[in-house]
Amino acid sequence: MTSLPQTADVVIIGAGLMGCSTAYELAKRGIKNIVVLEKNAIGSGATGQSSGVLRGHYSYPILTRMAVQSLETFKHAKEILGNDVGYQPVGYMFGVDEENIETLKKNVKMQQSNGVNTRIVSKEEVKKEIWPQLDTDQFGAFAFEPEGGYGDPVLTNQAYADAARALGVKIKQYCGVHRVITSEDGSKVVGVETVDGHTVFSSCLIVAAGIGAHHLMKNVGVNVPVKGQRAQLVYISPGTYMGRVPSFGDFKHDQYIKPEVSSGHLLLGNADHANPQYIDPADYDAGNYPRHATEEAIEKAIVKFLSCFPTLVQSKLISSYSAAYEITPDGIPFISSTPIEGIFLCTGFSGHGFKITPSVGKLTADLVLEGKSRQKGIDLAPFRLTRFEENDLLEPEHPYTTTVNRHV
Amino acid sequence: MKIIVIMKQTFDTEEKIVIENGVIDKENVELIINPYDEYAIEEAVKLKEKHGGDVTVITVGTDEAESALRTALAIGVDHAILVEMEEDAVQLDENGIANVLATVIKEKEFDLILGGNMSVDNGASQVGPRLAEVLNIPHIATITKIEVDGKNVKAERDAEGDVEIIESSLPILVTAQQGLNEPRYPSLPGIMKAKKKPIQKLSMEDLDIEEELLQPLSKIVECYLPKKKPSGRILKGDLSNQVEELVQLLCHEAKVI
Ligand SMILES: Cc1cc2nc3c(=O)[nH]c(=O)nc-3n(C[C@H](O)[C@H](O)[C@H](O)COP(=O)(O)OP(=O)(O)OC[C@H]3O[C@@H](n4cnc5c(N)ncnc54)[C@H](O)[C@@H]3O)c2cc1C
Repeated sequence: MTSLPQTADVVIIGAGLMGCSTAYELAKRGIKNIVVLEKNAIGSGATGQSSGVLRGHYSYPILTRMAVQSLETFKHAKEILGNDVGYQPVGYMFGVDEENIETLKKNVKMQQSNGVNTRIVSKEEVKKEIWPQLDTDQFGAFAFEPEGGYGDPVLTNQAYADAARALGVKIKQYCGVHRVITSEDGSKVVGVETVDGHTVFSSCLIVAAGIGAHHLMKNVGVNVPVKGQRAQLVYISPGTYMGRVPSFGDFKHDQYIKPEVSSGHLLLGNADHANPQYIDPADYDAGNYPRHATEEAIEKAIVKFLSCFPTLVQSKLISSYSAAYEITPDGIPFISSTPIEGIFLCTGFSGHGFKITPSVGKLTADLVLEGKSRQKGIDLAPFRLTRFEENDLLEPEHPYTTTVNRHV
Repeated sequence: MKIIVIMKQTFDTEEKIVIENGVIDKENVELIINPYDEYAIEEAVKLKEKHGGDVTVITVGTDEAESALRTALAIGVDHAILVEMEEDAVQLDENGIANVLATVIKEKEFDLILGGNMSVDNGASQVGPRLAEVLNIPHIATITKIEVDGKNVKAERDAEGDVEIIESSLPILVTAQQGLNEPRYPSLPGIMKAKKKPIQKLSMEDLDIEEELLQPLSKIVECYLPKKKPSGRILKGDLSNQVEELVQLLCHEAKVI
């Protein structure tokens, strides 16, 4: 294992998807001495708990563009990163109720104009071609993206880590950052102190620590409003072979379903964020949060699933678990400078970061090296930390009415 | 055939366990059916499917144990009984639990009692055999196979790696070892139906058991996590150097030779 250098050109806290993709992009652009410090293992945070659904379906054009840009990397990961990332183009289907048919059409149009391979599909087509067991009658309309589906977040994280290492990036696992050190007047970053007492000096620090960003920044006087939000997930076996079925965003019942090609199992995720259960960042850091789903959550998931697939009476509960989203107040991430010179944020992906990872790495590198985005059509302004005090939040172009869902 | 399963709800030992002041912190633990009891439930349901009859599952625990009973109902158990203990009640040991279970079971008709061979939390392996003693029926522990033919019972038991074949007769108590079966997953409609099934609740007052029978015969003196293993070391250099170094380390550092 390489030992910790005393100085670095860039220090990144957190070796999740975002820390590693940012490290890779910076190294690719010629930055030499990059150190990534990770308190646990690569991908041990939100990344390791992620469902990995890939879609271009957003009601925010900018996020759609980021997803479109990112899909290229998922599709060609082997050539770009040198490793497979488990991309499964099973397709992504989005379903809404009667009330949201028009909004869906507008969003699909917006997505098409931004390069998403998507279209409205009829209920008949869904029934015949896409998912025969789904009770399509309850839905208003569907959209389908053949290139959506899912990828493997942990493989993606590893692929970025390996690609970054190949370019000289040092990734130190089990090396937590205890605190960020600033100049005496608090205006500039000086470096970081690790939990075991080492100091790495650097004038450039990227905080990609997920929920951990909250107290790292609090200790230097910057409020980063990110916290944990409990996500409860259920694995089931449909009890019958269904063939190739897509990932499904069911915005009639506020749930999502992800097929697992290898096992034929389905992952059921909740997308109703009306009554969020928050996890204090300090508890999250200490690992003190529940890892299992509650009976109520499991029951809710079952009721929703059976109402969509009433004929699947042989379906079985395989397991369930509970995880934590790194959530911001508006569900939009921070890719942002901070009041402290040399400190940048790349956190708060609010349950939808995986699908935009490649784009985020590029944007963060842009921000750090040039102070502005070089990605076409993707402005960094919506991701700035000060948007709340300036009361200038990113709004969806065509918001859906039924969902209490900031992830779409 | 009338079958009774004795079951315990335990915490999931695959999750992170925090011990504070000698007690396990229950805050974020996941409560599950003791895995060995899952084999017992599965076998009971299989025997019922084969021979007819019904299965009753009994547990002694707090109201939290209701979820474990519901899971058993979802898997195919017919009746569930919860002997409810207050959270802060005096802890019963295996002797006390066996006597509580015996008091409930004595009032019932039964041919076969199934349980797990041990619980993954305390690992005492005592409740089953003690219960059989109190009920004055034979028992076979750690079984990996059971056949019932009329009154005759033939079981295979795991005797520390050997297989013993034992013949006996109903009524009998057996405890399940890993390998007995592959527990099924509950069906989603089954889970929903189980939510509505009644659970019979008994309190300790209802049972009115003599104090003396509940006195603990054992106590837990200390509870601690296993020591962390120090990290391993990879020896370098050519083979003969590695061997030499290894011998040195075994003699002087590990002191095993
Ligand atoms: C249950 C769940 C399902 C999801 N499903 C999807 C999905 O279907 N599609 C999608 O696009 N997105 C999904 N996401 C979102 C996506 O997975 C996350 O947004 C993404 O993984 C975030 O990556 P990250 O690198 O920002 O955070 P993390 O993976 O949390 O990485 C942060 C890292 O920082 C480390 N760290 C923290 N503090 C310190 C410190 N002081 N010192 C050193 N290291 C530190 C942590 O250990 C961690 O490894 C889901 C998320 C969850 C939780």
